[in-house]
Amino acid sequence: MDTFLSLLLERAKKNPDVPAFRTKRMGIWNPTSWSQARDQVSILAQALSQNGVEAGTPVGIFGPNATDFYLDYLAVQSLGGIVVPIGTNTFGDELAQQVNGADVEVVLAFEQQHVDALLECGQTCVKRIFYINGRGMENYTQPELMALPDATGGIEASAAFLEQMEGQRNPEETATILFTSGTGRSERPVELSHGALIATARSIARRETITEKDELLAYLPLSVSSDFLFSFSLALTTGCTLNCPESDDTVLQNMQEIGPSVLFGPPYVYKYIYTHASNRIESARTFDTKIYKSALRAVMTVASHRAAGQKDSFTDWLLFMFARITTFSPFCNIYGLSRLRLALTGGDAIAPDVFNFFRAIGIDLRETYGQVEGCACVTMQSPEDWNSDSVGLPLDDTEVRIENGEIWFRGPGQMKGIYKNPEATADSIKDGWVRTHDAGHLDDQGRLHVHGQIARMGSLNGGGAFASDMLETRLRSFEYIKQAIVLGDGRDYPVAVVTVDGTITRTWADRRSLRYTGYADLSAHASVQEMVREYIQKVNEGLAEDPATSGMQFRRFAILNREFMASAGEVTPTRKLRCHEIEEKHRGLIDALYSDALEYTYTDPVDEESYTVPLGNV
Amino acid sequence: MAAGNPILQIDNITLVFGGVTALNGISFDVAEGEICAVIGPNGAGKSSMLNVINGVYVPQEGRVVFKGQDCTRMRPRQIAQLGMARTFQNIGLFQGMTVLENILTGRCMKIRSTWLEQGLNIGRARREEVENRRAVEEVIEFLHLQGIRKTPVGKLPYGLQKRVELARALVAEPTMLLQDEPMTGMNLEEKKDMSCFALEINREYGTTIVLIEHDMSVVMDISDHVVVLDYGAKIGDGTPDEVKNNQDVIDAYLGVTH
Repeated sequence: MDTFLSLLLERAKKNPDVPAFRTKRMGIWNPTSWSQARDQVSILAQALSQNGVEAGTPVGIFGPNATDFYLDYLAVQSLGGIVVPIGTNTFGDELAQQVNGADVEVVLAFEQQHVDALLECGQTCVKRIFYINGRGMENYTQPELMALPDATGGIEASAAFLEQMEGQRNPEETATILFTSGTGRSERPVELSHGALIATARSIARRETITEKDELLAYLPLSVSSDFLFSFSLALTTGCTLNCPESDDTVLQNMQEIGPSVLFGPPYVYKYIYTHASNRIESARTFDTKIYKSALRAVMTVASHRAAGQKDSFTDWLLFMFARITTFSPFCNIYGLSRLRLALTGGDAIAPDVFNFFRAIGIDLRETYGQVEGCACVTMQSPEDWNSDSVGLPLDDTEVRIENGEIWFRGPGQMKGIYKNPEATADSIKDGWVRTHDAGHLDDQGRLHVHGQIARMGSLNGGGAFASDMLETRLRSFEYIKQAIVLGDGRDYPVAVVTVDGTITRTWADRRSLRYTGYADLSAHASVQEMVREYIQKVNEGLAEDPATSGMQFRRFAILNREFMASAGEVTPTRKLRCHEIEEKHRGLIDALYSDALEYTYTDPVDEESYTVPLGNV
Repeated sequence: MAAGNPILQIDNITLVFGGVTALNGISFDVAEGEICAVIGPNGAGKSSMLNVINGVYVPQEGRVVFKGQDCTRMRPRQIAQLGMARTFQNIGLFQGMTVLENILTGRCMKIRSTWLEQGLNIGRARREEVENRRAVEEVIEFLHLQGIRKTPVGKLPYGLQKRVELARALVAEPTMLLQDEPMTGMNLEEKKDMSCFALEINREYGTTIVLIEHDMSVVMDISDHVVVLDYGAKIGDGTPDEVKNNQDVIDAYLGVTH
């Protein structure tokens, strides 16, 4: 049985000179080999130990994706401490909630921004803050502050220290506390053990033969459970290289430079590439557009045949291969996808059109399903799954069952419990099974199908069933719609509030010579309304075909004057919508959608400007 | 940043274009390490003042003393070598070149190797190339330009071009930075960023900054010292608060308070 520390020591013995991490700084990719990683971890661990970190101490790690912070994870874990990753853009109440919720005593922060956020957020339990970059903090006098270089100065690397620590560790220990995303329920601190995380990562690695030759890209906020699993845990268990981008705005460029071979991304990442490509095609020359569209048609035809379980005809297959080689191979190269042999998505439902697109152009995209309570991954699709409707089979030794329509699971990857909250733990784990609060069913091949959060399913007045998640996914399939929230539980009919994607809608509007001043003006433009209306009508036609969904057709919609934003508390770090907050905040707009009004004027609290949102009938 | 001894002394400058007197007997000092704002209505002579300071215009009367040296009749290049850099009101970047290349041009004062060494990439040229690139990367990190390093400047929005221009000035490691209307035409957020950068540059590198600006809120927030010009004459000089309460200034520029 392994812990992350034993994996590090083993790797440092086996491939001491192979790069374990790479971080881009000052325009250069700086590698850290496994033996360097071990040495740095041993120095950090000794320094932390001298400053009171011991087994069971929760230590906050607060910074961007970078080698330093993943090494911090290992240093804390080698002492038996609990890693509490905090996303680099967290501040205010959210930060205080996380720090207090996990009783964080020590924080390893990156720079002034993070230290300021900690000092100002109103947390009450931090006793010591280490920072790496002291720029701008020359005049700070708070006694809890300490520069990390000062703490590690004079300490020598000692493999013996780590080996001694290894003897004291056991896989049942809590490796990390991660917070549930809080889209529906409130955020809860979930304790995950070394054993659970390593077993989950190994199960994925075994299925997909991920080895030390693979390259990963770590770009999701540290606090996201998928980053802990698909970046840190996967890299440690398989020995592959973990690459960290230079900054938030360079992720796409850095991806192109690295060419990762395995990539995890929430659906918004794939939607972004899909929309970005559509946008470039929209603004290309007519001839190029024609070539691209016919190539796309060729690959989509074959993809839809395969999804339906039919064999390819020879001409279709020939066109398919031709299109892939001539058009989509260069396409993948531009986006840094050409070395990608396994693309994973999860955390939210991916729009079927986006999924089909990537499968068709030759990216082996798989849906996964998981929750923080199950180390972020419980089931995963196989290569034969050409449809996005199922999320595949459970991982090794993991079982899934359905009780009263709700999904429950058990397996090596399940959580230890909710941190310091036995009642919540007892509510979440019954007889060894973990509840998910999601509805779903298993098909005859044992694959799981997820219908959405139970809390977001309901019924319309008049008795028809209603599922917000499914309707939202259908709306988001449209490249011009960036975000969508659907309401209808306990109401007469479903309505949608959507936001349009600024980039592609601007290109679209420019081609039609529409006049507008900015995003808000564009989103309220009659032509944009008309375009969205036509798409929603198409969605309605699709819904009408199936008797189970025909009652859920949209009647009214609104396009918001801005996108839903993380800074307004409307979006989680993985860009899922926080439905409760949005419903509260935009209550006036929603009420207006359930009246006959044709427009709604309000003062947006974000910039305190007044906006008029036109309301459309479908 | 605490203000020290005068680093720049403007002594009785008069600048005449034909029959127009652009600057009329202007004197003021800029202390080392301060942020000094030059304000005034359109046509007050602010840009002319800046052009006199860095040697583009030669005044008919008066002296400009920078770091104890009289540089009234020096060429702009010589003054730049003394450690003065500037940005322009109308962006003066090479539109077809990338951000990285544009910033690198700011290092040309530091290059000592000959064209032959550079052509063959030997000796000093090689070392300098690395040094210069490192300096550029530091500035890129300082001003958060990582995402657009390889983008041609012509494709960037206006606010970012201004930031690239600032980067180019900064990479020359100036002791004094002249900024001609750095925030004109920017939206609120860009102005906020730009003000923060000015303060950070001042604090981090101890660079003295002289800036011309129209936006009063920015000027009053970030400067230590304000000089007010009107029709080529100096009508106010002091801290932001002193200037705000100076009756001449209120009448000439800020308008009469209601």
